[in-house]
Amino acid sequence: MAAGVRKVTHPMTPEQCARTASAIAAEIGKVIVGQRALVDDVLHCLLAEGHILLEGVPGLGKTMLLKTLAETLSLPWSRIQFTPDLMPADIVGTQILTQGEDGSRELRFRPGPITANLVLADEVNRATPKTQAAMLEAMQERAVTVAGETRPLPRPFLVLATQNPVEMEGTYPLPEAQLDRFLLKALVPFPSADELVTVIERTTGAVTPSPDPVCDADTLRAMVALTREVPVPDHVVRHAVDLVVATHPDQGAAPDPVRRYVRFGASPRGVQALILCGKARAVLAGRPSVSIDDVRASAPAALRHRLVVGYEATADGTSADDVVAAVLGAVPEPTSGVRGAP
Amino acid sequence: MRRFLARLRRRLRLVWAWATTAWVAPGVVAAALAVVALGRVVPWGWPEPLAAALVVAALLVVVIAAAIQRLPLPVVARAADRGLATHDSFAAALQFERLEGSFGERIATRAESLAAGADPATAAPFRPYGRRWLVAAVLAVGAVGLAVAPNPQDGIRAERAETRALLDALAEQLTEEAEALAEELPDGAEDPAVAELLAAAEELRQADDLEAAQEALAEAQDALDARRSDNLAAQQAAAQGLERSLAQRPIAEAGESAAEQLAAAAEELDGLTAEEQEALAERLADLAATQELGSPEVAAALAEAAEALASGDVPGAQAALGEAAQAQGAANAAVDGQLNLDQAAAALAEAQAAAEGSGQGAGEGQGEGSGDGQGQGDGDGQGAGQGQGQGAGQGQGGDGAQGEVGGAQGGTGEGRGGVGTPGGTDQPRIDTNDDQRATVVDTAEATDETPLGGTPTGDAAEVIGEGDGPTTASLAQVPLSEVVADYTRRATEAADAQQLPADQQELVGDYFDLLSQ
Repeated sequence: MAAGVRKVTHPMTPEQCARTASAIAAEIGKVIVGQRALVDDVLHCLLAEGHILLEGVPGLGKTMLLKTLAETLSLPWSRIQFTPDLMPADIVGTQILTQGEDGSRELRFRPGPITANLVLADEVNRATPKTQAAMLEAMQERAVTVAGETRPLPRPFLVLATQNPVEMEGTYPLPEAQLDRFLLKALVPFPSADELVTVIERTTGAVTPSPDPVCDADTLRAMVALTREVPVPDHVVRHAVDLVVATHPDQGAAPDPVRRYVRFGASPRGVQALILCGKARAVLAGRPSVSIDDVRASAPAALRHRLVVGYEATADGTSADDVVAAVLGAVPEPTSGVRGAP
Repeated sequence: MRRFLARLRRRLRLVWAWATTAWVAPGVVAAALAVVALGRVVPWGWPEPLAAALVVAALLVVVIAAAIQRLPLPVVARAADRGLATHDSFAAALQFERLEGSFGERIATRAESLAAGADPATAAPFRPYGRRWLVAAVLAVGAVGLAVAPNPQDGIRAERAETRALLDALAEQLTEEAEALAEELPDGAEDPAVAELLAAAEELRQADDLEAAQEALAEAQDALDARRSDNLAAQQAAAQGLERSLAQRPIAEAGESAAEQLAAAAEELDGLTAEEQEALAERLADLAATQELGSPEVAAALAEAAEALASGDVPGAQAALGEAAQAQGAANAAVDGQLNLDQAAAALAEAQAAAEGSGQGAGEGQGEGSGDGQGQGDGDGQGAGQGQGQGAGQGQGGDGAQGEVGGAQGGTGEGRGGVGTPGGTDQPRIDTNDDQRATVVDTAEATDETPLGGTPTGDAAEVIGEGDGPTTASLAQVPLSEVVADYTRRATEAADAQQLPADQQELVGDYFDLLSQ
C-alpha cells in the first residue's frame, strides 16, 4: 500500500470521511480537468453503493475517469466495450472445461469482467437487450449466477456505464426498468476552452500525470457504511417524497410540464436515490445530517433518467432536465410558514 | 441552541407583525380612504373617526395576533435554518436530540456552535416591502388630504350635531322636569304628567330629526291637553282660597288644613252655643258662596251644612261638614294633578318652542321670551281699586287708605275695591328684566299717588272719591317677591272681614294666587 493511503478502520468519523473524499477528488483532479460535478456524482455513487450512467460524446475522459478512480482507490477495475455481438457470458463469466495434469477434466468458472470493484460498461446501449439485462441484473443483485451457482461480486462494486447520445444507429436504448437501476445519470459536458487547453497540455507532454492512491477497499467500505448511517430528518424525507410525487402527471402537485410531457414518473427508487445521494453529499460536506439542499441538489442526476417523457417533449424541445427543473420549481424548499420569515 | 431559538421566536413575532402590517396596510388604508371619500358624499358624522378607528383596529389586531401566535420550536428551527443557511442543522438537532452515537453528538454540537455566533436579526431580517408601503403611503396621503380638506358635508354634519345636542338637551330637560314632579308625589303614587314627560323625553332621544321630535312633542302635548281641565283657575282659586280663609280664620280648634278643620268643626258642633252655631252657619254660607264656581261639590256641602246648622240640625250639619272635608281633599288633589299637568304642558311647550326655533334657523337664537301679561281692560267698580297696570280704575270707597286694595287699612271704613270688568286678562303686570326678577309697581312709593278717601284711623267721614289710579309704572318699583306676601295677606284679611263683595272675593284670590306663582 502506498504511503499516502488513508487507512481508516471502521467506524470512521464524518470528518475523516470528508477528508478522504476530498483527497480522492483532489487526486482525480490531477488527471481529469474540470468535470467537478461529474467527479462528485461518481463519488456519491461510490459512497451510496450505486451505479452511474454517463451520457456524453466520446473523448470526454470517461474511461480515464474510471481508470484514475481505480488507481486512487487502489481497486481493480475492468472495462467492457459493449457491442451487438457481446454475449452475457462475456460479461458475467462462464464455465470452461479444463484438464488437469492427471488428465482429469472439470468445469471451472472463469469470471467475466464484471467481477471487479470498478467496471466501465462502455457504450452500454450498443449491446443487445439480453446482454444488457444480464449486466443490469448483476448490477442490481451484486452477484452473478452461472450454471445455477450464484457468486457474489466484490464490494465495493461500482458500474460506470456510458452511452453516446448522438449515434443512435445500431443501438438498443436501455429500457426504463433498467435505467431505473442506475442510481444517477450524469451528463458529461464538453469542457470549456480553458479546460481544453489544460487537457491538451497534460496529455500531449512527455509526462502524463498520474494519481496517487489515497484510499483502499476497507476504507471505502467504512465510508460506505458511514454514509448509510447518516440520519435524515423527517422533513427532508418528506420533501424527497414530494419531489418524486410531483413527477407523476396524475398527481395534484405535478407542474404543467409534467402533465404535458411525462408519461410515467419516477419510481420509489427515485426517493431512495435522492436520500442516498443526500447522505453522500452530507458526508462529503462533513455534515452529520442530510439537508433539503442535499436532496434538491441530487434531484437532476437522480431523477432525469427515471422520467418517461413522451414524444411531445422531444417535439417541443423539452428535455427531462427541464421537467425536473419544473418539478423543483413546483415543489419549493419548505419555509418556516411564518409570514415575513425565511 | 434553545436559548437562541427562544430569541429567534420573539424576533419572528416582530417579523410576522411587520410583514402582516405591510401586507394589510394597503387594504386598510384603501378602506379608510374609501370611508373618508364617502364622507364627502353623504353627510354622515362618522367617516373620519371610522377611518382612524379602522387603522387603529387593524394595528391592534396585528399586534395581538403576533403576541398570541403559536410558534413551535420546529417552525423556529426551520426559520433559523433557512435564514442562516445552516443546512437544516437546527431542525435536525431538535429531531435527533436523543439520538445516541456519534451522529447524535455531532448534530447537537454543530447546532450549538451555529447558534453561538448567530444573531436572530440575521436569521429573520425585516424586509422593506417597499412597494406595499409606497402604495399604503400614497393612499394614506390621499385619505388625510381628503379628511383635512374642506368638506361640503361639514355644514350639514354640524347642523345635525346641533340638532342631536338640542334634542338630547330637551330630553334631559323633560326628564328632569318629570323627576321633579315625581319627587313631589306621595310614595307609590303615579302621575300621568310624569309618564307623559318621560315618554316624550324618550321619543326625543329616539328622534332622528327635528320633524320627528316636533311630532312627538305635539303628540305628547295633545295627550296632556286631553287630561287638562278648562276650569283649573277657578278650581285652584276655590281650593286655595278656602285653605287660606280657614287658615287665617279657623272654624275649629284642631286641624291645619281646610279639610281637617271642616272635619274638626263637625266634631265640635255639639259644644257650640246657639250664637256660635249661627255665626258658624253664616261663615259656612259665605264660604260656600266662594266655592260655587271652582268647587261645586264643596260649595254644596258647605251650603248644606250652613242650612242644617241654621235650622238646628246638628247631625245633618256634621254629616255635611264631613262631606265638605272629603270634597275639599279631593279638590286639592285634583288641583295638584292639574297643576302638574300644567307644569308638564309648559315644559313640553318650552321644548316645542325650542325645537321649532331651532328648526327655523340655526344661529338665530331664541325668540321673544317674555310675554305681555298686561291687563288691558277698563273697569268700573267700587272701592279702592289698585289702579295697577294698564287699566284705569274708578273706585268708590271710604276710609280706603291710599287707594290700596279694599281699604284694608281703612279701620272701620268699608271699601269696595273696584276691579276692572273683564276686558282683559286680569293679570298683573310683571316685567321681566335681565336679572329675571319680577317687579310690581309699589304704589306706596309712587309719586303720583292719588288718595281716594278715608284715613287709616277710620275716624273721618266716608268719602266717596273718584279718581284715576296710577296707570303707568314709575321708577319706584320693588321686586314682586318682596311685597306679594304682604299684599296677599292684606287682601285675605279684607276678604275675611267681608270688605269685598262675595262674588268678587274669588277673583281677588285668583289675582293674588297668580301673583304668588
